[in-house]
Amino acid sequence: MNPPSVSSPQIDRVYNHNPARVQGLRAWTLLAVLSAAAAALQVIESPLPRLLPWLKPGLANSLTLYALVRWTPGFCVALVVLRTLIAGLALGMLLSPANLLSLAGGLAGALAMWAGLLCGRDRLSLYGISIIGAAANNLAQLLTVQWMFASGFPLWFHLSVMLWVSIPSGMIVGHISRELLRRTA
Amino acid sequence: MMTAEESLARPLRGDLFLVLLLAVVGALLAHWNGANGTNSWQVQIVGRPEKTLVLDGLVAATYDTGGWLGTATIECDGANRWRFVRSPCPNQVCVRSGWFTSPVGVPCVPNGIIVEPRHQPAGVDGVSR
Repeated sequence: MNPPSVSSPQIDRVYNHNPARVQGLRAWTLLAVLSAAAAALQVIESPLPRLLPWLKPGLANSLTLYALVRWTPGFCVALVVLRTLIAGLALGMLLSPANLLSLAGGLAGALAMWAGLLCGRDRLSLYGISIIGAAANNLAQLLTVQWMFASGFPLWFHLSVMLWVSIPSGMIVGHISRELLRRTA
Repeated sequence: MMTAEESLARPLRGDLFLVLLLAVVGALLAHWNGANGTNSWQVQIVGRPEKTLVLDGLVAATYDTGGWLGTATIECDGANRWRFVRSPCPNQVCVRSGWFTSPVGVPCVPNGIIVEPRHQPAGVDGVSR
């Protein structure tokens, strides 16, 4: 979807009536706003109690899905990278193992949702695509732990729990994305 | 005529199929792992194999172990449950997670500690000729 035209006289003057530059400015601004909002969601979610260390709803993924549907996959990947770095900075864990886990999960989730969007046309809704993203996010984090940590780590047990958890969390995230898309249509 | 975004907003039959598929695969994985219970655990520090500790799940005790960031305290309650009591990691996710039981193994990623089930080797344990 193309962004709506911007008719601010100040922006037009600064950018010398160049629509491409105005559109670029708008994309950068939106990326900054969405990254900050997604990072805030990730930070807020971080101290909540959970059943297992990495079980959380992943509310920041709602903005990833929103960006994927409304904008482009490249924009979406940039959003994931920026929000992970900002959240890592805010939590004092920038480029720590936990931050890298978050980055791996976020990127895998974004790529899986993109694949779901392309392949699941007319078969999957935002809910299904979001569930795929949640499952991919969980799987990528587990594989990263497996790679970083011990080989005897009980990956399959955690995967079973995370597959179940990805169903409700994916539905919550899908519903939030749906509302975001509806209210900003 | 519906736009692409409007058509994505309505739940479809494929969503239901996906939910059922994940639930069934999750159940099968859990069932497969359920048979692998253990009463002993090993605490590993990533990159420091010499610091590996063995916890007996049936003995109530407290163990201190040094991770990447500092000393973490792990407690066993004697009923095959254990938990992180103290950890120097920033978010305290491991501590807030509470008690764990078999067959769950859990890492504290920032501190580089992993607690995992310790399985006894099965079958032949030596070869002679």
